[in-house]
Amino acid sequence: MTREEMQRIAEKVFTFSNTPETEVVITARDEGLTRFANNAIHQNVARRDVSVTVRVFQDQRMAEATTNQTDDDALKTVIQAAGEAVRLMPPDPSLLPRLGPQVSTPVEAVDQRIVSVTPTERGRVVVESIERCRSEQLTCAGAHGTTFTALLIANNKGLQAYYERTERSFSITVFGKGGTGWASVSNYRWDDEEAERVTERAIEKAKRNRDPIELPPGRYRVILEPSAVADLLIFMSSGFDALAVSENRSWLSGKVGQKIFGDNITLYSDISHPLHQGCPFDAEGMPTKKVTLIERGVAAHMVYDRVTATKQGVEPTGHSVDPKGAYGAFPRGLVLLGQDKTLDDLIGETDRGLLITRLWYIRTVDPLQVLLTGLTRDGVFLIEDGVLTKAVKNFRFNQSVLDLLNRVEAMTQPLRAGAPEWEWAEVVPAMRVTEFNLTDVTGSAE
Amino acid sequence: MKDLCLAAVDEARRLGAQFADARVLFTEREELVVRNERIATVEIGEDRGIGIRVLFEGGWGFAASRELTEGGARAVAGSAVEIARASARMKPKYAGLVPEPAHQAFYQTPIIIDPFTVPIQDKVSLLQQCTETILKTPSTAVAYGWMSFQRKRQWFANTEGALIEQVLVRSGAGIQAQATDGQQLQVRSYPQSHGGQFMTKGYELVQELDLPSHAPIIAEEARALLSAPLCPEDERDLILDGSQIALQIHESVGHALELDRVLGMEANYAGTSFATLEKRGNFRYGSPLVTIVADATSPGGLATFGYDDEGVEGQRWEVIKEGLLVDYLTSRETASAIGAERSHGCLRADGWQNLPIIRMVNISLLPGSGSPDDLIADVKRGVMMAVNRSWSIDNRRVQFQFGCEIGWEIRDGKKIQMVRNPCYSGITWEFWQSCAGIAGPDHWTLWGVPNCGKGEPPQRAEMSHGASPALFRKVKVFPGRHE
Repeated sequence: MTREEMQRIAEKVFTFSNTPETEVVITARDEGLTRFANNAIHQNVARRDVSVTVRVFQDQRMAEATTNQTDDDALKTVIQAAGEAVRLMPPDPSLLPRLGPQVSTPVEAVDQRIVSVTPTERGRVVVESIERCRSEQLTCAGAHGTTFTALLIANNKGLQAYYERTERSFSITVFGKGGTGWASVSNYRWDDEEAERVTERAIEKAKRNRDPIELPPGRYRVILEPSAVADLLIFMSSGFDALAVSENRSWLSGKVGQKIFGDNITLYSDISHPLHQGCPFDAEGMPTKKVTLIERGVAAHMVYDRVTATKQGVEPTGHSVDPKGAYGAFPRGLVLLGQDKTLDDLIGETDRGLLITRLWYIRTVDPLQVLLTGLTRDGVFLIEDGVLTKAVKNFRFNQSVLDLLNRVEAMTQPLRAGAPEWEWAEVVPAMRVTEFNLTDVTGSAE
Repeated sequence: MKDLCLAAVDEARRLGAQFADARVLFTEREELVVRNERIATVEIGEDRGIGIRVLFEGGWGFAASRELTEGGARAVAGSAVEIARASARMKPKYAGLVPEPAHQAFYQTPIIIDPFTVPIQDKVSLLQQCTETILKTPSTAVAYGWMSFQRKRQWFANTEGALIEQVLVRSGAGIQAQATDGQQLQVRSYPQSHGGQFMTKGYELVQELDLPSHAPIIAEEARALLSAPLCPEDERDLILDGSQIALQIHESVGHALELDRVLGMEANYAGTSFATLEKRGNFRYGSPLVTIVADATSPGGLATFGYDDEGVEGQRWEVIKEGLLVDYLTSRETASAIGAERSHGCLRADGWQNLPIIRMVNISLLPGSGSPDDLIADVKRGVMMAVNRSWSIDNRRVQFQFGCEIGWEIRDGKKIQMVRNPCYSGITWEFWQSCAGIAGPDHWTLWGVPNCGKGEPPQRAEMSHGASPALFRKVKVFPGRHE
């Protein structure tokens, strides 16, 4: 669905609606994905869908209704449903009027090569990776996906916020003789060489992950690859929400303005970073600002939705997660600054430690300490005298991210890395930290 | 809509498919959230579409579209065939499909009160009554009330002659109190966390839950937890409430026995399973008290249906019998891969947009006898834990760690004090082998899990797990705390 088609639907909604303030949110998604396992393709899918949400505002009340049908009857039905619901709502004094026209930072996140890729082309990349693994007598599993998404938030007060994005993802798990190797990439641009590079990384990990030894639980110096760092940072993100801070539900409550980490920690929310090119507005259509969350260890700023910002007498930052400002804000587009080092540098500087490839199934144990538990996966390696010497079986960890960020010895340059369990990416470095708390062993190197 | 399914499979057959099945699905939903004094969410939604799965020379293809016309159905079938042809060129490993009768049938969830006929204002008022009560308790940071309703109407046809219509309705509701003293955040939910209780029932579920009378109880418990002692750290006897056992079953039995995981098909994302095929019939998964059934026919279960999404009739079978691993969760193709005669009917999709994959049906621990008090009386030094707060298990479903909202220390057969931040961890088979008691049928509840994630692209599925409180010996218990 094109931007023009989305705008035509929005105009129809405004014409059909007799509520003074009517807002429409249209999302379109066109997705293809090829999955493989045991060196063969086993799923190959395509799906295309649209969602139209109509929000009506009347007398300090709001309700919304959604459909995926775009004919006139369906639009009238959904407007009527939202209109009937809004009349049943009690007034909400916190509700703010809808936004008028806004100016967002332009971003460029569409690659026509991704838009036009065919199932055969997607599959060919997979087959090449499978053949490469087969040539090493290895087996693999993975997924190769391409997506186009578009989002329009518009209202009859003149708001027109539009964002479109392509995404190409390739991830692969290679089974070696004693364990697995994994690598993954996700980018809004197509790169002909990327799948090959990712496959080689996973093969190298899998081949190295043989004859794993079991080390006892304990506190270890570890190097976390960028994906593992991204997976941990996501869990502290909600703490930057000004609403959560004001309700004493955040680890940041009472600490804003204080020095909480070392000078080496600087963290931004920056959707316009070249590696992100994220959505330049929030759930209300408010333009998203770049926010310095941590500056040289100091808790510098929070992110705000409009309602919380209004209550606190500050400017919203454009990070609202919902149209009412009921749930607060979330800092999208995280960028953690690193250092001018490589992963090899970090390994080479380490007398004894562990290299951790990937984390898995992370959950919060104590939100005010950002104490997390989770597991290592797909490659843990012992470092001795600056060299990777042995594969190591997986661990469970129980680790506070706040403590971790106070124990960062060294970092690489940041790069875009996905948090594998979530559809989420951050620009983060690999980092070497001390006293990472590995609490149990799992008995496997997969 | 049956005609659209038939047109789609007819088109696939015309284009050379050796097999095809199509589903048209209409989904209606209503989501209501009250947060503190505000109505945070009122969402009314419907979506419609068709998904078709095609087999061409051993290669699978799936395509989905929201266009519900005969032309749209035939076009999406054409896309699926094109994708299947692409798969076929890439040397797929096709195991065949085990036979299933071509059912021509209708199934619907029995409900008493259609939840979509109850006025939204009545629902919101009930939730507001609860959050207002919770907010009166000192130290409360946030009060939540949730309701969620869904009706799915689905038509299914395949090239073997199956033609099935199903109407599945489910309801959900719950409340939560969060209390803080600035140093810690304590949470209590009723009747369980993760949005409350969900069942294939009508609005009668909300009435049965009686949320308002539980609001002051959870608010007070959340406040009391702030000053409760930490959970002891030790190897102790552990009693879990039914809702936590439900999650334990989900993570350490249900997912482990999904045959696609066992066969390596989910290796890149969700993971594999330790419960490999050679263990069937001889692996001691639990103590002799532990019998776990998979059951798509349990009244009220979120995965209670007439037929799965490849037209296989809903069934009940034992997966763990008196502690022994005896069976798996299967689809027609994976059943064929292991030489089974029939699929157990576990192939389900998240909406019309997604390819059906193996998902749990309702997986339940059969009740034992006696009461929770009998279990407590059998413990000298132990901890009782209730209602899940955190959950994590490795990608082979071996090593787990769970945290609960509330715990009580047990000494000499008596609950002596509330404890905070209770956690436990273990190894799947060691844990189930340590099961020393299960309370009886009067204490058995089917707990809904409405948010199970699996697959690439990610799919959400719903299922239930029945359990009574149960006793496990010598489990590692500890406080979730910052050191």
